[in-house]
Amino acid sequence: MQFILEMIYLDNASTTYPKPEEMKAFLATAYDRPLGSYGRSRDGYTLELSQRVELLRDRLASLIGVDGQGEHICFTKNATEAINIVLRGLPLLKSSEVLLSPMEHNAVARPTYALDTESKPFLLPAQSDGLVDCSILADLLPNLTVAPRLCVLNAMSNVNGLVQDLHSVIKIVRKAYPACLFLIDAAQAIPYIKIEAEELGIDFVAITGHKGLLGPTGTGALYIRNPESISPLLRGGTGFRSFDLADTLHLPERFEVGTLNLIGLSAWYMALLHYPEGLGISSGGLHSYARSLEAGGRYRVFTALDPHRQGPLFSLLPIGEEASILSDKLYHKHGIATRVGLHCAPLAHQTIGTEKSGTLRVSISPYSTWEELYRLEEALHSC
Amino acid sequence: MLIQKMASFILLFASTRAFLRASRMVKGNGIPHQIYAAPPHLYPECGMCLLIPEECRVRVAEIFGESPDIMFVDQNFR
Repeated sequence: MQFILEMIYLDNASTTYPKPEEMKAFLATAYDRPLGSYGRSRDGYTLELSQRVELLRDRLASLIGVDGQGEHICFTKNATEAINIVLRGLPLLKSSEVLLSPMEHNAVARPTYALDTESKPFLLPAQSDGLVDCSILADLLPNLTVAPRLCVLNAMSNVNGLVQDLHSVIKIVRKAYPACLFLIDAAQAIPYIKIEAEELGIDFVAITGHKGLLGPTGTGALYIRNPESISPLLRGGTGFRSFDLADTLHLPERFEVGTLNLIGLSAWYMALLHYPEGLGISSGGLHSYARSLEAGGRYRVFTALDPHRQGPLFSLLPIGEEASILSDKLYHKHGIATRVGLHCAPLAHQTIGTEKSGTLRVSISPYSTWEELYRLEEALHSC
Repeated sequence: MLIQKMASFILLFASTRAFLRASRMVKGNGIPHQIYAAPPHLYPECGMCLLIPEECRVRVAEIFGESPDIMFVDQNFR
């Protein structure tokens, strides 16, 4: 027990820990009173939590630059589900009609490759850290044999923390293919970067609750600009227009069927309401720290090339040793939790050249401290 | 205290979100109100409605303006 209490948790890109105290307190008592269902029950407690759900929509809309459009935020159980809603919701979409950024997670890659077995998506050209090479892209796009209908961009890599240049890529793709829609995988990115969905004309943004937004697992959301652009992935009861057996176009009900995760979403709202102010460690500071770990010649470090494009995570590889062995040593000898492997992102590893080894990932949260990173540095020196 | 239905009007909503937002706004503006199950013969969209005293009608109309998700219905609705 003592060991767990003293653990240094640096696996926040998987899911963040700790969570705001107010959220924990709410979850501990959520079922102390009778609780009904969002949109169905009318008792005071259910309505109180349902209000939080609506305030959460508004807050998420604000976070992605679509203030006042909370009804366009549809709740899901995670970002993966949100991404699948888009990829499976575009009528008769083929793999060859999809552009993928080079750092995509399997949440995007697998449903894209599963669209059909006859073709493959087009991977955008990249620099060594996964940043899309816009000059090459501009030359390549006019030569595509199939006009893309959807461009999926990973806003922040879960492998090296690269913040993608969404603005430039969208501008270039839209110039070549004005009808192409844009889906942003923002699972790692929010709230660390602001995604200006309205300004950039982004059609879909996939969001998760349990990472940087500090909510509980099982919470996510999808921003949908135009509800008619995709069909619902699931159909069922909405507590709304129950006589109508056809799909509704009304948002958010079109994409929210069945019983909503009222407790989870209320908890997520509590987390945002009590979000800690300011990052303890800036992304720029983390970039400098990560690069310094290469100084002894024992580790290769994988970050964004440009410090201004660094998110709150990076990867490293011990030279001459398996990353998994290092991760085990860090945990068992020093009580430091990291993540090792491919991080469900084989395309990203192919891009940065680590597809055979995987990497050891270090990821921080707003609660992380420099003391914890110094402890990691000492541990790396002694391993 | 129960609002007298004969001296009141109701607000019906196109969605749960619209109902919850309106509830928040009337509460925030100190307007007395009660939540009822929406009469299905009137409007079966959202399952709930707000019952509001008639003397607050002008103020409520000012607050909500011409929202497409909200419908005002006069008394004697049941």
